[in-house]
Amino acid sequence: MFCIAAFIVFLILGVFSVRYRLLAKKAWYCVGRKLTFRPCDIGFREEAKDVLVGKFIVTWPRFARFLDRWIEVFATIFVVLSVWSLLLVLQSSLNLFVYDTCNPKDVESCSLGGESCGISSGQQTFMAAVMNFEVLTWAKEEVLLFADTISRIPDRFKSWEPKDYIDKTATYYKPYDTSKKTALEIIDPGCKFCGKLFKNMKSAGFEDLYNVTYIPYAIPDPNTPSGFKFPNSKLIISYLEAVKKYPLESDVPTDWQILERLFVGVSTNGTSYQEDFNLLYSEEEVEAILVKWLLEMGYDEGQVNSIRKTAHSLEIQNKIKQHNTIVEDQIRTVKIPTIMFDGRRYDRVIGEEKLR
Amino acid sequence: MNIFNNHRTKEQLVYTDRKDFSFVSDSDVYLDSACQSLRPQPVLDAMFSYFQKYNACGGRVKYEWGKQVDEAVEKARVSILKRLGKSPKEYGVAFTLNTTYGLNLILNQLPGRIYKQIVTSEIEHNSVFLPTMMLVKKLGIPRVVLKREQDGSLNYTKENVAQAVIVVNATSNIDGRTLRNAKVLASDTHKSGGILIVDGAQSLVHDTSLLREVDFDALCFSGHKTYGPSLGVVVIKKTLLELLELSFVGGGMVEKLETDSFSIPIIDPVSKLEPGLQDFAGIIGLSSALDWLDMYKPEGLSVVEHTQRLAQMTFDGLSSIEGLHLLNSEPSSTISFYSENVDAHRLAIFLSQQHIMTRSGYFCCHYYLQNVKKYPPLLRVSLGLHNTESDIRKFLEVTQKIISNIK
Ligand SMILES: Cc1ncc(COP(=O)(O)O)c(C=O)c1O
Repeated sequence: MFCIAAFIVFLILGVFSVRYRLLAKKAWYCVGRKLTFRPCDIGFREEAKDVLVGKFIVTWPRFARFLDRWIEVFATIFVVLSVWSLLLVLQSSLNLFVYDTCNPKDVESCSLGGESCGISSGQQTFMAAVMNFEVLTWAKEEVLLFADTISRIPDRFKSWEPKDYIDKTATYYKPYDTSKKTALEIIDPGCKFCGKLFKNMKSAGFEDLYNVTYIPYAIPDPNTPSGFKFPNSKLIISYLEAVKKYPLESDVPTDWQILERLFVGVSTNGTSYQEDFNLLYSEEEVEAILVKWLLEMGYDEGQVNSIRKTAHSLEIQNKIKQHNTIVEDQIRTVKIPTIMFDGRRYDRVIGEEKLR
Repeated sequence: MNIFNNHRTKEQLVYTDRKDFSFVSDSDVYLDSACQSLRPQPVLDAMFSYFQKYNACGGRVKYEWGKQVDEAVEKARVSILKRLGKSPKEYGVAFTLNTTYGLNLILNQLPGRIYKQIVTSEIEHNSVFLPTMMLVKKLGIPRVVLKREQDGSLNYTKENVAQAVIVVNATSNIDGRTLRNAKVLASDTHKSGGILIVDGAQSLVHDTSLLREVDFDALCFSGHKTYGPSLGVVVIKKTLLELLELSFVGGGMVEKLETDSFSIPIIDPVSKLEPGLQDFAGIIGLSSALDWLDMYKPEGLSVVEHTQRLAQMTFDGLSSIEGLHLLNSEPSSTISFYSENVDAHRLAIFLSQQHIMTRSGYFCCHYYLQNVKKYPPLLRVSLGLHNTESDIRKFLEVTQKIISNIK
């Protein structure tokens, strides 16, 4: 174990100096027990150990003796931790490649994942599992997740075509133009990064270059009372779907208008509507605002009533379920906004320069 | 236990003047001079001066710098012979890489059919032990390994030396014991038609009076153990030189050259051992080291006195540390020992962490130390002229501390 520990240390230090590279080589031979004991010399293992102990033997003899006795144990712990962290790094790299986040279970904890809202898999962390005495369950879930990750590798090489996921009711920000290609977003009205992507698209003029459409998705979260990450997303989505059935004679479809007000609009509090919907308002208050918006957009009272009914209808709820299946089982994203165009797919906010 | 009863003040701990080794840091205690001695400033200056002022090839050019080199090389040969009390008429001096190379050069070129046996001793360095084994194969004659007495004398009979190639050291690198009966050994050997080749690797730095009296046929030593640069020297009788069968040849050694044959200049037979260009800076540095050895007076003492004083101090100090077993029966500038409590390699590493540089293991004398004596690995301290009393004090104190702390 000591040789392995030394090998790891010297390998890392070897990046900086030749001296350590030579030591790493020696340690490697020691690991493979290929070290030939030249009669004029001593074994690497002993030498490296004694260098450590020798640092303290004159000044801190007790500590030196302690080190002398327990060094193998320390080395073992060190190796276990190093191998563990190496595996974690490998796993995170694989995750980053496959999911665009190092931790698909807790997307926000990975700063490399870009700006996005995570879709929680509901799995508990290692620490939580230890506390709940469910380490075995945790391990099982880890293995399943890993297998799932592997199964997703081909997704990274696939060409993503929006048409494979869009249904007939899809609306486009600008009237559909057959000469342009289609871009598809998956958005949660409560996710501020979806709002940010919306703003980026607008300032890049993305909607002029592509037929932009979306699939609304309310990120589920079993740990909240509403069952969703953003409490009012489900209600808003129901309205987005409902208004599609009552189109008005306007350039921008009314569902897009709702999204625009939500993402860009500023409430009387001076904060964005999105923030207020997430933090301040109850379901009734949100619904009241949506109704107000619909009236402002040009619907009459009767239409608004129908929209309200439709929003709560089984038909719309089924529609939402269909969308969820597309997002969860076909596109299989773990974080949104997800946007696909030109065969590529991004699971994060992308900058204006990429959208131009 | 404190091995020093007298209480010392901080000032007294400050190292005394290292004089020509002033570049050595006070915190570094180098105790491996038997492997390689430090080079004093005058030696470094001499080499530097060659590089800067007359950096030419010797023995082959007509310009001034080259002549200066030739003079310096000649002076080096003379100094070496003078130090050994030998006449340039009888002996030649050749420069090689090191002692090992010099010994191999001679043994490999010895003619067959003259000698009946090869004789060496059990305490020899592998530089002697191994080449003598090879010679058995080359000449097809037996090899005898003799004992050495505690005082260093070779234990031999008349039969042992009859028509023998005897290769033994004059000073051991284990405990500094010397070949006390070298003079009679040489005469007995010669009487019965043998030759005596001396491994003088450790000898030239010390009292050379013994070697001056010995009628050796060849002696090899290393510049790097003699305060000079890394260089080997072969001092060899011209009669033996003539007998050698050439096997290494090249530039700088021919007189006449035909398509298929050449001849060596009669007036310069040592060129037989010097194929190719020489390490002129090394030769010049060594010459300066020998001059320096004659003049140097550390702390007002002669080189020999100074070494004896430090050797005595080291010997006394080590003898009083509990659990240490010294191989030396008397003080010497080379002292080897082992501890009951700590493995010598560990001890060497521990000491090295305190900037004290010593050797551990079997110092390439495995046959004697490991096979014959079955000693555990040993620790060796070998003193040099750069060492001071404070070096020895520090070494003894730290050794003492380590040994009691590791228990
Ligand atoms: C007694 C003796 N002989 C021979 C040698 C070999 O010397 P070199 O390595 O310079 O050839 C040594 C070196 O330590 C030695 O001590």
